[in-house]
Amino acid sequence: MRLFSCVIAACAVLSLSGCVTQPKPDYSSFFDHQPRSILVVPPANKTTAVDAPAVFLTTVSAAFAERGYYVFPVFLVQDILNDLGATDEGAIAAIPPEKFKEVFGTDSILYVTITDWATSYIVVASNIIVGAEYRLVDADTGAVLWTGKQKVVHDSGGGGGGGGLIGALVAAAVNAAITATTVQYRPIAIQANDMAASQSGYGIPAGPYHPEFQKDRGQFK
Amino acid sequence: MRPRLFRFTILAVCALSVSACLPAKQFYWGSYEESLFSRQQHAGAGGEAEAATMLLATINEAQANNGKVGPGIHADYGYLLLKQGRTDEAITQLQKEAALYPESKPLMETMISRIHGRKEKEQEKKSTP
Repeated sequence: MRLFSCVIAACAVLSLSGCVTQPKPDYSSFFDHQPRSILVVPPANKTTAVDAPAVFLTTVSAAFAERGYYVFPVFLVQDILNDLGATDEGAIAAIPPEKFKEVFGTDSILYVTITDWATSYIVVASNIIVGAEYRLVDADTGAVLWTGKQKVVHDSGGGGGGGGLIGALVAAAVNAAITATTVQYRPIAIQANDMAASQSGYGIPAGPYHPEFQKDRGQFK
Repeated sequence: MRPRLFRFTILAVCALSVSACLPAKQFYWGSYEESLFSRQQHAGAGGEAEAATMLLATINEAQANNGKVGPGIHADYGYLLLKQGRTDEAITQLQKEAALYPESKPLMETMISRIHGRKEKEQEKKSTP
């Protein structure tokens, strides 16, 4: 029983600490240019994982649209950008925001930089780490509407092998062999995006497709 | 009594913090993001055909459940149909996207007018031997 309350307490501390690590963003610019639509451009990549941007791009749409926004279909956007010659992150970053307005009719552009996409191995388990930085920019003026940062460390576990330390080591080796696959990064990336978009006081204020639209300003100051 | 109250409070805080992180769903997503991943993993016509099947199923499921299909899904399905040469069906999907989500209207109209332009050119080619 004592162990149980200890676990619960640890969980509470963790969940609280997850909410107070960053300074609160300033939302005045956001509300001055309240967007209805978000165009997610292919992410920039600070990691050595070559496939991270392409996989990450498949995990952003629902997280941000669920905040009540129209999110343009990401692959269609990517293909149109390719047609325009913007095939890499440098070329995409060089496009002036108003050009996105002209081509797509979007109100805002979401730039994502992937900062973490790795598996770290510790003695009896391995962790999958996905981290990203977000910048939402007004398509009319180029003003920054919102910035966010998120890092999710997923403990992929190491127990369950049984048989004490040797069992744990075997389990760790098996886990390490499995965690290298793309499939296991996706749910962590989805979680990171969900948290970045929807965390109270830090995420994106509710948009026109959300019942809290214009009612949640108290959370975002 | 005291420790029990403490434990209860902690539990309540835990439950609240977890529920605060679970967003209510505004849209029906079905397998939209999985269809993107499938295209990412299998580039080319095969992956696109598979993704199109997933999107059609998603659209049908949303209809059956009286859900509003998420933004981008009709447009993406239309785009895949276009790549398969099914232009009329593609146009229908792009029009549905524009009707459901007015934010997409400028882009959908641009795409539709390009498709019409291309069709006209093809017809001209056929009529002038």
